[in-house]
Amino acid sequence: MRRLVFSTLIILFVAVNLHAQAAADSTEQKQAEDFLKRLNALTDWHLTVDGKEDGLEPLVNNMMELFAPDALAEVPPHDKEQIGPVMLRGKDNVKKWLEAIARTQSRLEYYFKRQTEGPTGDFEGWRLVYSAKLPWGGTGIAFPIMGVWSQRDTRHRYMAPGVTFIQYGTDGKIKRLRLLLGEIEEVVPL
Amino acid sequence: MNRRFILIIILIALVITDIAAFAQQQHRPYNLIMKDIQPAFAALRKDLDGNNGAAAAEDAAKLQALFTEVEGFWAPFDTQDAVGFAKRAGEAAAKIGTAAKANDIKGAQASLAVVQKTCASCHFAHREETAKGFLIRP
Repeated sequence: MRRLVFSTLIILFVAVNLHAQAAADSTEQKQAEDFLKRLNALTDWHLTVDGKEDGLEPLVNNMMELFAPDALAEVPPHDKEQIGPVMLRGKDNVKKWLEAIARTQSRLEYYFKRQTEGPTGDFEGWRLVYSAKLPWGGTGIAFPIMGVWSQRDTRHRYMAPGVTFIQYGTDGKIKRLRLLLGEIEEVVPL
Repeated sequence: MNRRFILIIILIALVITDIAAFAQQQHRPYNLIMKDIQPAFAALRKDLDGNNGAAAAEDAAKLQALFTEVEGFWAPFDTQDAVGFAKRAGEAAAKIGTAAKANDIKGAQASLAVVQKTCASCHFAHREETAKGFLIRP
């Protein structure tokens, strides 16, 4: 009897771990991680000793590789004069937006909001990525995030809770992006 | 005659403007400026420790000029804090010069601390140490 209970527990433990592994390794999870990784890398460029931008263009291009030529992106305002979200149509406008981020912000740290629930979730929490197959082909993913960045000119740091919605075409390129950030707060020392 | 005269005036104005713009953009490589600051700062501290006001004033003037160069480097970029750090350090260096000339070593030492603090703040925000050396973070 003891042996049976012990074996059952071991099988359950292995099954739970396998399930967790599969979720963490899913294509959608990787897509979400890749998106944030490339986004956060946008400000990892430097100045040369003679004052030239060094490495900005490759970082922007690295992010642009994710987008389809006809991509549509709804993003938070990136201009002081702009109130409300901005709708960017086409790859060129998306590139301008990314270049603006790379040039006007620093220390980007967008990260997944974790949910502490379920097996093993009590300790680390789950980086949930919701996904759906789109009726017209491709996949849609959504994941809650925390956006953290500094304004490059003032070095003031901000953070905001938000959500990212991405629709991928059948070719795996981003067709639509909605990056929503709400309640932007300045991070100030206590 | 008049046309030729006007043309010459325009040409001269253009050349002067270009030279001025070129001169404004030209600055020494940043690493060389930084490498000059280090010995200038050390000499200044030594002079102040030795109560040598005249030599300290000279070093402070040198340091002030170097911080003006630093400000010139950052000015074209949208990095106000770096420009501010350079300005603050330059102003503190000027204060050191004034105090040192008046043999107010204590006052000069206080401004030296401001320079040191400002340097540290700027390095924290804009200097990245890598295995290959320092990188300038915009």
